Amino acid sequence: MYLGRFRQGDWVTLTFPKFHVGSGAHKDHLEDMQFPRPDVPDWSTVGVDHSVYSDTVFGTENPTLSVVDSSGNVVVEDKRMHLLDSAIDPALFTVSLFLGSDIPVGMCVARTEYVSKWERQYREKWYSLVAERTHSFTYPFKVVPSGDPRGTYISSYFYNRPHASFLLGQYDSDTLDFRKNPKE
Amino acid sequence: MLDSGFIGHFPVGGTVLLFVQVRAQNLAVAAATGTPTYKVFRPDGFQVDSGDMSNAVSGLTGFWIKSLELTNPSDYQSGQTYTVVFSYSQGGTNRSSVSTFQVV
Repeated sequence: MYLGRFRQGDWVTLTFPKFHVGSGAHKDHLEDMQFPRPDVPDWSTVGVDHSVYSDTVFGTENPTLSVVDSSGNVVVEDKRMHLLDSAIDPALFTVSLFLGSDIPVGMCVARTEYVSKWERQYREKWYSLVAERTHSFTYPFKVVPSGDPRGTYISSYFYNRPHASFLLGQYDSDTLDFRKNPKE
Repeated sequence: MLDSGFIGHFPVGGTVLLFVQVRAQNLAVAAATGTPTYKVFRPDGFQVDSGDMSNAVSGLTGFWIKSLELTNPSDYQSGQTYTVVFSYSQGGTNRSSVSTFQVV
């Protein structure tokens, strides 16, 4: 999904739906991705006495984000995404990516990824890894010049000393800028 | 579309980063058998470019890229939208993926 064009110093926010890989009944949906569901266990297929089999998800970690530049270099590697909302369907994960100096001008591709694993239970006992799959989306975007790879000032402080005056600024990339008045 | 779909605007003489994520039947990430290929089509259906994807990105399973230079002005014209068809073999089955880009 094309994200658009961004200047260096901008933030890019990505969201990634994490698909349900719960019960056996829903595994078919994973096959064609018609009905993505929040990635939480589905207990509906388990009998009262837990006497029936049920596949469910276990041990999945949050999705990660990697960014590849136009030369094929991985300039952002496995940046962890966090949960945006688990109550919606599908559950959405998100991450904000700062386009600093490590992300070059030109076309880049962001690639999200997570691994789902299924396990089966019988009489409340977990056993047997059923399957493991890697899911991924791709998000091309373009970084254009003219921005500031350090970001934007979110606060500043005028610092006056006898020998000179200074401006202390904080960027949204969480870096500080310290400037001296050149005329003093 | 699950994958790239529209990938951006590019000038004549510019460079397009083509990419494809190899997938299995269940859309899970997978490795390709051999090297994926690409074909670029003009809106009238004429094929203006083709070739192999240049390299698989290390650490990203099944993720291939190719830098395509839009050097021939007779092939790439401003205002036209071009379609890229990627083809690869995975698990003994031939699969395809489609992207588009616009020349400005």
